[in-house]
Amino acid sequence: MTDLLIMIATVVGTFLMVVASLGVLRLPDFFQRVHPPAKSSTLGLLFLLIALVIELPDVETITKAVLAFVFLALTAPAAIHLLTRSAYRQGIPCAQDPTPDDYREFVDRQDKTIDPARLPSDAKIN
Amino acid sequence: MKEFVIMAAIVALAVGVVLSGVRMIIGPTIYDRVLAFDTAGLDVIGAILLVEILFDTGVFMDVVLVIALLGFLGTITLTAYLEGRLGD
Repeated sequence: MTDLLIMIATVVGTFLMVVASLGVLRLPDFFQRVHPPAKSSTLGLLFLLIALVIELPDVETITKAVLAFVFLALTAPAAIHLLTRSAYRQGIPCAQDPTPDDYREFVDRQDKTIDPARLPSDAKIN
Repeated sequence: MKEFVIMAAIVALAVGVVLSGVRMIIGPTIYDRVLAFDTAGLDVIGAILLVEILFDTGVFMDVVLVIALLGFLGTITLTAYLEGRLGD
């Protein structure tokens, strides 16, 4: 029973993490590529940590696993958000027309320079 | 059975590191490379957790914490370097 739970958690977590890497490789532009490591990898690490805690249910491992998950779940999306914000302000091109673009107005109000034509016309995005 | 599943999962995570490495090589902008590096670091953390399950030991949890901390600091530092400053 314990082995079955460990195998299920291992397979689910590994699937999520490999799908995240595949998404980073295959999605068409940078603003879509930021989604897999921010969401899917974090959930995959949660499943792998659950498998580890089922395998080794002592106090030290559980404490470090909870600490690792809290730290990762707080920092990985925040770091990727900062990276995406920096990329937006540098004018990295989008694959599609980013029509509901509220952050653009915010950046313009702050008098930041941004490339006006953030469209896939001549940009190399793959 | 359990050992086979865990070894296959470690191989799958190695394939994930290779996929991120391909994006790290072909990524058209520096942002894609930083993102692929972050993803590869998360895959390596998952592989270390699976090695811990395979060997039935908990001594590598410190390694997991250090790699998570260094990956976060690396991404933040590269972002600040690319933007030229920290914060607004």
